[in-house]
Amino acid sequence: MTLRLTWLLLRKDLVVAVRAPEVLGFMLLFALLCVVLFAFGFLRAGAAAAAQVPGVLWVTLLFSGTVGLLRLFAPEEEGGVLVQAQRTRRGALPLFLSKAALQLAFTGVVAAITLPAVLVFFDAELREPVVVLAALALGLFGQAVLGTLCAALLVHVRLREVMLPLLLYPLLAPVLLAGVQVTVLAQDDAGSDATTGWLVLMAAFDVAVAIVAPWLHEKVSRG
Amino acid sequence: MTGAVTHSRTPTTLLAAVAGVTALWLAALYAIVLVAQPDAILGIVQKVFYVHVAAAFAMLICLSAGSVASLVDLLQPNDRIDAAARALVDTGVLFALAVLTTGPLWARKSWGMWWTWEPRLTLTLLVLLIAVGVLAVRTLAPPGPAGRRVGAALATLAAPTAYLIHVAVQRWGGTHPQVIQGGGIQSPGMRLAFWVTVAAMLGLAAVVTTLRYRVARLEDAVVALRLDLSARDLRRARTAAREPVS
Amino acid sequence: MNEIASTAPPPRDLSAYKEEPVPGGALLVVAYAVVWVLVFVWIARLALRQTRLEREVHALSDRVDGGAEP
Repeated sequence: MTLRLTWLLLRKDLVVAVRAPEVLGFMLLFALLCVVLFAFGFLRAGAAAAAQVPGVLWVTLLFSGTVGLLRLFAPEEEGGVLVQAQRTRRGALPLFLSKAALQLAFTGVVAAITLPAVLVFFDAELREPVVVLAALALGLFGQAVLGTLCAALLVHVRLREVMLPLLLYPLLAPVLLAGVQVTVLAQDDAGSDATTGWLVLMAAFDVAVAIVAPWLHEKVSRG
Repeated sequence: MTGAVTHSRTPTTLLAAVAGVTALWLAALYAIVLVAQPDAILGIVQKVFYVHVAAAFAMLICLSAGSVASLVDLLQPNDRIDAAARALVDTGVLFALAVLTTGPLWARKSWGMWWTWEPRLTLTLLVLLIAVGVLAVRTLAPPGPAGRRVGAALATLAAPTAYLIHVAVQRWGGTHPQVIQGGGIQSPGMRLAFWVTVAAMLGLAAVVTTLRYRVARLEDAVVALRLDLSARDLRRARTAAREPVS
Repeated sequence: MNEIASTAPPPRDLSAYKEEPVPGGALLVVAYAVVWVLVFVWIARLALRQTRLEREVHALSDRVDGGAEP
């Protein structure tokens, strides 16, 4: 029942995203803009550009993800059905799961385009693609779940456009640190032990938020 | 209920607590200045350690207790526990600021730079940002049970995340030189000064939290009175609308 | 070892502080002063809020009592 409802909600959002792809388009444009700004900010004549790739990649994904999160609940809000959906006995969990899945899908598309773009702009190559892709999957999952929770909690809070990044970025610090370190290690062909450690940390983060976030969402929206 | 009831009464227990904490602080300062020997390598600046680490203890206790109180309030809503949670997080911010100002002053001498991304300092900075965010959301959320649950949920979420941040910055700073691991307590005099300062700092934290708790209760009283008044105005308007125009 | 090479600051010379004439005593005094100023500003802020809120509760409860229901 829950899964079926989740799928129906997700399919509705995906249909909207295909017919009116503004949000995804803005996320992509914003990611591209970030990469360009980072290039202007960090590239120096004579210094290796490739060294900046891990930081630029992860911070860009973190920033552009917030663009999607701010519009995540907009259709329900504008239709005036958000509170009702959250309060029904069976509605809160599917709503949360479908929104987190939608956000993950959006950030996945953004990452699929940003990663090659960063590699091209910063003249780098991906040494261990499997490790980096695994880190991206784990990181984007954690960001989507925690971000969806924060977006849902802040729906009725004033200045939420400001508050969302203010709250989310410090909470996501482990994901950013781990993601950047894994990418650095993959570039340097260095220590697999350290890589495993960071990936385990990201997985632990994902498991923790996957358990806590839906529960808190339910608790807050249903009282 | 007529006016004077709520007027400023400072309970004797609170005054006694303030006196006790003042005495503890005098003892702590005496121990720091006269009992504890100056550090063999770092010299006199090592004495920043006592207040710095004690403030860190106070911060950790306030913020963890605030997070636990928020969880309790989320599970079983209780006005007093909610006010205590807000007071604890607010006081935690004060001690985080104390840690982050004394840290660089100490680091300037012992590490030769104002700031290092030392794991515990990094954690304190991130935890401060999260705590300020939680307090800001609580202020900006609509008054009433829904906004209160949002604040409590975020404060609850902060504790496990802070633990993961702790693990992450430990790994991140793992290769960083740690000159003063454990703060460098080498003599009984230092140990005495340290624990007396910790006791004094925790006492101070308790007093500040109590003061903030009183403010939090007043804030709740104002919100409740406002709701009462607007409900009454609404009733009156309805009655007036039903009455025929004479 | 080079785990954090590209993100963290370079390892610093640990003997630097001995050669550098940093006044330890002054830093110590500043540290304690800052903590105490911080605490007193904080308490003063709480006292102001307490007074303001007490006045507000007073005014509001007067209004609640004053306009009793007919």
